[in-house]
Amino acid sequence: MKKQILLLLLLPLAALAQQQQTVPDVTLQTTDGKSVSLRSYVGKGPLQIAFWALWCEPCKQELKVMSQVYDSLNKQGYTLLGVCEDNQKSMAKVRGFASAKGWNFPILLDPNGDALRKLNGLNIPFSLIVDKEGNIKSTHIGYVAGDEVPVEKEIHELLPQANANAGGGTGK
Amino acid sequence: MPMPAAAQESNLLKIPAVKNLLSYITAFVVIASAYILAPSLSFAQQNVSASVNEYFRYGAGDEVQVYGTPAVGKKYLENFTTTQLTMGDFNAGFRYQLYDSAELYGQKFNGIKDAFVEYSKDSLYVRGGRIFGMFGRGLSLNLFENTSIYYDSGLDGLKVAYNKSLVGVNVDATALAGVMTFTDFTDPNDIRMENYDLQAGQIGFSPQLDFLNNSRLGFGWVHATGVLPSPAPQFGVPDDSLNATLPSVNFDATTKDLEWYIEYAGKRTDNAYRPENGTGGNQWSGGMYSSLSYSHPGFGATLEYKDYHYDVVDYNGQANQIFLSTKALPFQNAPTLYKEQTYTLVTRVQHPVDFNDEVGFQLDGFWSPQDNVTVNFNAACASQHYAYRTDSAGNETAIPRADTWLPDFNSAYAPYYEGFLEIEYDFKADSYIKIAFDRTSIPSANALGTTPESSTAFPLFKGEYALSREWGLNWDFENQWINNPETHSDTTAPKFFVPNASTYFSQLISLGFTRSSIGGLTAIYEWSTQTDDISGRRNWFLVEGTIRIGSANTIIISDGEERGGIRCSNGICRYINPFSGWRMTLSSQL
Repeated sequence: MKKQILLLLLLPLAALAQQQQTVPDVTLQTTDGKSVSLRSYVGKGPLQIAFWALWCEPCKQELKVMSQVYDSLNKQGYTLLGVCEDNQKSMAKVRGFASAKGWNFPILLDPNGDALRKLNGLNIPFSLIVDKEGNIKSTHIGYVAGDEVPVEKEIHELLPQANANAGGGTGK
Repeated sequence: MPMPAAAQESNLLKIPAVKNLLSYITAFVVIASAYILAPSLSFAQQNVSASVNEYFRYGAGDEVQVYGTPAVGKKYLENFTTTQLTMGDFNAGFRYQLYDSAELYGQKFNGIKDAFVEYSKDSLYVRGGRIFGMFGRGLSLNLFENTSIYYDSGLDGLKVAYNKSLVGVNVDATALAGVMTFTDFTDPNDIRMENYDLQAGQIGFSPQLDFLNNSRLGFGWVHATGVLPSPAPQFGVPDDSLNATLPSVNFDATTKDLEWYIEYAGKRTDNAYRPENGTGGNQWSGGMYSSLSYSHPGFGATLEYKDYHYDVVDYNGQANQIFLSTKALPFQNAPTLYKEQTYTLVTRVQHPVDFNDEVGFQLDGFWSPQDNVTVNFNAACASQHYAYRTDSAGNETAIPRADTWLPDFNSAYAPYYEGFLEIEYDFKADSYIKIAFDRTSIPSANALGTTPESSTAFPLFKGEYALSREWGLNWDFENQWINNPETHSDTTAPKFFVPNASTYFSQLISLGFTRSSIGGLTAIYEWSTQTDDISGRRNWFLVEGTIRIGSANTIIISDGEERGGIRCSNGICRYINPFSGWRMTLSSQL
């Protein structure tokens, strides 16, 4: 019976899950070894946090496509952040891989899965769209060709310029 | 005399099947309620948020568990519901987990796992409950969980981390302590529970130096006491206790294009039981890892070296190593230095890393001669430190390798090597083709080191083509020749497929369609000339459908035959039995 009672606790938590979530305060490493807070990327405009790994083909496809979106929208305030879930055995290769692919967006390392756990991610590909106030607007699991279309639309809606045109709102 | 209705009901509830059924109904109702009712409820709390994710798996069919025996009925049900609640600087969570039974080893569990509370503000981080973590690259401490291979080295305890800048040097420190119950599935017929009491700490110094982008010098210390279950309690052999101390030092330096990392972690085991003398004693051992990476736009390469000698023992010792207190312990997990493959057939011949006794290299790199072309290459090799020879008088001699720091490719040293080359061409957004070659050789059994198994895979041909902005086509075509003197092949097959009796050929063909936001359908067919596959089959056909509901819910349903094989993660390998039947997986992010 205790287990069933504990299970019932999930219900209000699930309801709370519908509330606006914010980006947690978690410290990650850049590819050159510096510590940086995930929250430090919030505030410029729409932020996409995309979890990936070297072994994850759909993740790399997603980043390849979103990298082009980043190159065209970065100056307007969009930030793409690739959070790498490779463990310690692959960490040394991540910087070389991103460089070889010509990715210009920031890459952070999460070898213990702290950030993925804090954002309650299940598996990768897993990405989140965050507004400039740090509120998580949507989550996306998996990736197949064409999934970038609604994501791109959402990013455009959150761009500061789009909000200015819509009357200077906050994107909520 | 008939029983009163209330008593009948009470007895009914005592029947295990009825109890289980009620448990599942409750779980189903609650989880379904979470989906249906959640949007209509409102908890308008400032600065409070929660998240729930749901992962559910069910499978029913037949499984071949032992070669030469008929398939037996197999059903499994697994549920993971993970919740987290964040209030300001506090975060708490737990996982409701149900196994009835688990896919891999039929484990049963119904209850709460991985409960934790954590506090994080400025430079201070405190976590109580279930904790994970890693020092350096994991030679002395790497606490992690991987549910797909049922590996869990998480600790129940307390972790505190703090960092502060002092006179231009950033100092970071971590301390943790707790208890671990580790379930060892190395032999599924003898599942063992090892218990550890662990305390650990690390400190790192990162000075600001003009000539380096970043540098860090770190020191770590891990102490563990533990109890290993007796290998033969029926013969009065007692449980073994251990007392291990693992000091470590690591250094990392990064410039614009280069990164160099080196780590050494020693291990002293007090009162270690040694089978050769049957008594306790002390043992000092250790391991070293180093990597050098170079990256430049269009090119990146990493050269890694390992020398793990945590418990170098002879062939007899290797066969019983899981019972030895001197072995690399479950809270240690060092870099593996081999490529974790994504090609299905190549994954079937993987090198299970011996963290106790292995020396080797890996070179892994990328080169992009043009924006839309990438060449990926990988070369890895490893061997044991010694070969062993027994003379006519029964005296054993350990024979060192020809070189003191390189691996040895003589079969007596259980060598492994792998070469991999892949060319990837991106011809438009969401469309690419890859063609690859892989050659792998692994010792069939480390303890004998005499009968290597080799695999040649070519072509490995994978790709995706975007038919439109919504529709996509993907395929996978793989050929593989495996040579192993202990396997039997269909020698009547054409010479191209079967050049000799100990070589067999396998081919995998997969074709799938995807529709963004809706899902996809994939058909996978595999056939082989191997005549003694554990399942007794020569071909396997599987259909897999994916349904996506919104951006955060996915249902995968598959039906057909699966060949089974090795599944590895972080160098830890598990054998998956052949399975025939259907599976369903639900992933959801609420």
